Amino acid sequence: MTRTTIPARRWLDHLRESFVETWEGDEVEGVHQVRVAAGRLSIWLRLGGYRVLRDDLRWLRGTASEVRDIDVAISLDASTPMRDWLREERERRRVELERRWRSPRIAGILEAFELLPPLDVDLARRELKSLERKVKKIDKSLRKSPVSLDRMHDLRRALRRWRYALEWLDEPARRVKKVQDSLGDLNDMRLVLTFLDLPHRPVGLDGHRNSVRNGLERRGQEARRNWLDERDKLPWTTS
Amino acid sequence: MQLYLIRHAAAADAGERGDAGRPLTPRGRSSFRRVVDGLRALDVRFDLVVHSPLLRAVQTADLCLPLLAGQTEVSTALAEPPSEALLEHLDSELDSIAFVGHEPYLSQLCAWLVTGWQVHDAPGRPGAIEMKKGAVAWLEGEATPGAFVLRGLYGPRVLKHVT
Repeated sequence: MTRTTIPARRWLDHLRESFVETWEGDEVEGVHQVRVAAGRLSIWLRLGGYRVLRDDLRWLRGTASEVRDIDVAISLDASTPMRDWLREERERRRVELERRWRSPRIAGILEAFELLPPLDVDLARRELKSLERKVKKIDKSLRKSPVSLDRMHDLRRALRRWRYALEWLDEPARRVKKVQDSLGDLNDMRLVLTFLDLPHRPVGLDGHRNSVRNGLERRGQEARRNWLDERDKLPWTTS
Repeated sequence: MQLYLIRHAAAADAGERGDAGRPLTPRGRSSFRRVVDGLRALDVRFDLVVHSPLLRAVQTADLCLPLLAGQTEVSTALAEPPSEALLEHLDSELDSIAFVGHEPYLSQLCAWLVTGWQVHDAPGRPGAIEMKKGAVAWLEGEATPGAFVLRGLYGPRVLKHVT
């Protein structure tokens, strides 16, 4: 039987479990999964036509990202002075994360989602098309102009939103995920550079920074070529 | 700072999801849309909408969004007797804030902000202010209890006829 509604339950439970994982289990993975769950729930709201609560999820993702971005940079950048500095920075941000995640806002987010009725599938399908159109718009500008890392970043985000929407609707999303993942690697490198560009970074990392910057430009060209190869294989529904 | 205390619109009776899960009725929605039109006609805009997590407040806050020029924030503190936690939302850098919540907490909050006294500390004392569903209390002042002035208390019937 075809379903007519989409409950938020699965990812709401995942969000709750990820908070527990953060405090009582693998903290690095817990923070990452909070960010993932918040992103998926945000798309669920969008598919349902809700504007309210999306700012709360954006805030939640932002708080998680402040720590998660450092975890990604630590895992990618093996240079010792940078890693030691990032670990100190992470500890500072972790204290702030704990203060924020123990606030009534988190309890409010969880309670509000618990009470929201399931989405109407027909409404969600209409919104899915708008997320797909967003990807197409970025694709069009990418084909016209030389590679821009900011634009590739926009593409990755648009693909992520489209993929999450497809998954809420039980539509095939494997190829979208594949392309999104390849752009994610580019974004991770960009993240390392962001930390290397901070004015209070450790001294003596200029050579390392230049090498990451050069690698990033090369990777950006590859990612663009990869996108142009893969784009026609995606599950487009609009012309 | 302008502070607007907004009681949720008319909601259905409690069903499977209990009191917290009561949705707005179709009539409550359409009536509150006209309240929003009335507020817009009065040039009311919000930099921040803070709302309770209960479904009827979430849905009412969603209907307020045409008046929003900033962000929304959910807070369990609006589904409880007024406390210091609510005052943390009164960001003095913002010009106009809306709280969407429930009775009797909103009228207790209104009294606290205007007089500086927390009336819910006196059990059995009747509320001095009555807010109907969809009503709006307009306060102006500094972000401290006792430092607000009640500028207006509008029932939905009044606001619906502003336009």
